[in-house]
Amino acid sequence: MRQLPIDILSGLPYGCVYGLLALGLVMGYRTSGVLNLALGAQGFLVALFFNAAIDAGWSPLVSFVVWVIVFGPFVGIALDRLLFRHVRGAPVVVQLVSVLGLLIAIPSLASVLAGSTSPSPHALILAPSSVYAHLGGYAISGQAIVTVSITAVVLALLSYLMHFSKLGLYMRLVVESPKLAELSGIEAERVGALAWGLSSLLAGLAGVLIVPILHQVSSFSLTTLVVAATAAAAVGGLTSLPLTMTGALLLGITQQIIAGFAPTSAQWTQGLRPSLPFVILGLALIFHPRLTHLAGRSDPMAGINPPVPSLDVVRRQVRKGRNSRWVVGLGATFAIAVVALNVTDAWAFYLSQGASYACIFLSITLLNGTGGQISLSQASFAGIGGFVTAQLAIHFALPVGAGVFAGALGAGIAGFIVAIPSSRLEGLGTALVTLAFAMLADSLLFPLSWMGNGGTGVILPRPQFGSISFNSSRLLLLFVLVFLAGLSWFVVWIRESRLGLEALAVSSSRRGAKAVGLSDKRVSISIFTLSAAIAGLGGGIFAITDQSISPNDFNSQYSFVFLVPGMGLGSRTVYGALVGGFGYVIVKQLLSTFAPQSFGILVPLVVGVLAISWVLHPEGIIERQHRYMAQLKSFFPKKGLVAASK
Amino acid sequence: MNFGRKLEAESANVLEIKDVTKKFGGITSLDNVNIVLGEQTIHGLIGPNGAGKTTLFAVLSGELHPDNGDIYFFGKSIKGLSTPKRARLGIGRTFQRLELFKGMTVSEHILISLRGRDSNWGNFSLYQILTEPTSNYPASSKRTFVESKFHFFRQFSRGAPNSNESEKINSLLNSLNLSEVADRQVESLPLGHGRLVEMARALALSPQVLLLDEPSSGLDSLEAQVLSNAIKAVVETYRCSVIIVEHDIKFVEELASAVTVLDAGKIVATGETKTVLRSDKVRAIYSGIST
Repeated sequence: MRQLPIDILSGLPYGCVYGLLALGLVMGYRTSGVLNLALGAQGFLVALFFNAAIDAGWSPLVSFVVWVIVFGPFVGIALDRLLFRHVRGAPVVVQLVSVLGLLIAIPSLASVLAGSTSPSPHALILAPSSVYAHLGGYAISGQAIVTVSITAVVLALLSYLMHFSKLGLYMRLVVESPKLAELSGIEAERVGALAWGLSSLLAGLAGVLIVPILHQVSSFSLTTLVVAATAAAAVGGLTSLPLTMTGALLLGITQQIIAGFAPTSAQWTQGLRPSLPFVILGLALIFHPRLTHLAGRSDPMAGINPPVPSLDVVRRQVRKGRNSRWVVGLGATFAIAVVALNVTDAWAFYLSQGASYACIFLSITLLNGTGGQISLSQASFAGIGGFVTAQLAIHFALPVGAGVFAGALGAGIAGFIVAIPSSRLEGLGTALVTLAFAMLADSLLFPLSWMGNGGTGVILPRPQFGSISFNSSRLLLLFVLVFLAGLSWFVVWIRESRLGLEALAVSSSRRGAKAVGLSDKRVSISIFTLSAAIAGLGGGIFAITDQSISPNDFNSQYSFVFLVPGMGLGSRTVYGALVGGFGYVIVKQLLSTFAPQSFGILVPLVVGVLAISWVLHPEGIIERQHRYMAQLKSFFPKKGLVAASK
Repeated sequence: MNFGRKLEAESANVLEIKDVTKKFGGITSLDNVNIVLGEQTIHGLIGPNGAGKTTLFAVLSGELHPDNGDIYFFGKSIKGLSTPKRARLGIGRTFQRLELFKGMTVSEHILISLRGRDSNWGNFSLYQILTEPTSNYPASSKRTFVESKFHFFRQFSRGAPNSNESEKINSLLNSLNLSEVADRQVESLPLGHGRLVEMARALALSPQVLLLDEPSSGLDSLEAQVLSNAIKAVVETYRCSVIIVEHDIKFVEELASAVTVLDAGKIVATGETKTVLRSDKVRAIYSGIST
């Protein structure tokens, strides 16, 4: 028991960093309804510049004032001006994808500008590792003193600001109703911008404080911290600042207690500490009464505005005649044969990988395009599919061809388990449950020996059907393309099935669907499970193409990366998924072959910009082109031409 | 009586709302409300804003559950049933703010509803699948135990309507004069047509009770007249009872045989329409409206 007070004290600095990020999240969410998961990326940006300036010879205090106090809020205000204020009241999926775009683009841009991908740890005032005092056996380091002191000052200032200042009063009014605030002569947008500036300042502070604690910080580790902070924010119902801070401190302390008491012998107990925030996030979302209906916030005075344009619900594709289906089928078969037999072995390999990504994008097509749901764990389902395929091949000598389907079954079961709680939630709640699952998969599931082989990955053979071996990449490509064609047909079939029609109804109006006897839960769970299984198929195909799979191939960050091209290109068409899958690999390979190495870092920037542009065109690039083509065709009307919607 | 559902009728009254109370925090939205709805009657529900009319509809359709009291459908309590289960039992409804399915045609709205009616999956429950006793499905029942368990897989069947469904869709479209817009997407329709589509969708459930939430809201007088005639025809043709929440007193007076007036969650008056609307209490609430 003597260890307990030490664990409690050592958890405080972590709790403070979680708290700063969580307060930033809540400030932004309360003001605009946007949960800014890119806050970690903003903190990373500030930390990178702060430490780079010190590397360049600046004094820490000057660097702190310039980058944390001035530049940090500036980033928040600029993002509000450019993005956040335009997505207020927009569908959750639009808000989420635009934020994910920032999450991907900001670190990439920051790395280019600062010339470094990881900030070097620098002390703000006191030497981080030096011990300045002892309290009950706990050695108080300089960093602990700085982190706790700064957090205490921030809390005191925030409390004063929110409860005693005019700005705090204005902020509380804007939270209730920006329109009413404007009618009272308050410039709601300016107050909102200040809230975003404050939120960004808190993110910058957290970024600067966490670097000396963790020593090695990447943008991904700060994103993980933000998800952990979301758990604290969820404890406060995404509204209460005191409860949020309390939740954050308890989270930091409990993590340290677990680390102190859990046995280190087993793999799963080592994963307990990092998993705790995601478990809390999941539980808070399921059981917190305020969080079960996070469908989006609205101003009570919103009725005086013109309606916010909803996502374009484009008519399901008009069924093609039997003849045209045959033409498309034959054309596709011919194209597959020509491509598979004429590319080089290297490109056959890349295209097979592209096909596996296309499978994963197809899972997004089904989930979002047909079901109107959003998931931040598609990469995790793909990982489960890949690992199950590989483990069954290695330990049970199951042919990998059959293993791919067993992997899909495994991913489907995982999807079913995630879908049950997420079907109780709406909008943002569903996204956060899937995010918590993805983070849990990273920290707890994939490092297990029977899944990811203790984090080192699994090597598996290529498939063999009788005497036909697929060791040749071109033959494998042929097999994979035929498989992809079959899967594409399956997705179209589901979309046109009774379930597809019901899913469209549920995604369009849940109330309306329930009023005609449809079980929204049954429909949501069915679509989610199928989608997870399809992602699992993609993971299996990836594993047999690569002949190996490791946790890094499908970590949670890939879910963000997959979602952005999936949505940006158009999540409602199979065509969009195919272009996304192959395009992702082809662009990556072309850049690495022909462009200077430094261009590689720009790929995330392109993905990020694509996501942000999606805010303007939520139907996706490909559907947008279809619409243009339909408009063009309408100048030359002919019998049977189907007009585009709107 | 058109009652081919699992629930056997135990009362001649279609719907009985008994001592229903609903509170939100410290605010009592419904206070001991009692209403009885007979067969093939149209019952008006009126009252000023905040009277509790919409809350009562939400309680009836299963979106909210009462804190006290009960609701009986043909004499059996439906208090714990979810919205989809109530819809399948025969409680159809429309919405004040249209809840149509964007991207779907008028015909598809009716198709979805026809299929919703035939679905026996109120809520997805693995426990229920595994534990529901076979005695719930007597040999005389059209739907056998095995058929119901495998019903889940029907969702993967063809989305397009079969000939039987097409016939029912056409019949409904004709009865509400929607045939001309059958293949149009609902977002391209005017509000009046939208309200008729919601009604057609609710009627596809073969409801015993139809809950109409401010059906004339946003309609001009001509459209309101068309809708009023359609409601009368629906009651005659489909032999169902209707509860209408309305602000337009004339609309209610023309349609309803009985009316209940709610104010601050309490029933102020209830009874025959003309008598109630002429009572002093109601005139005080609706002062300035001639009856």
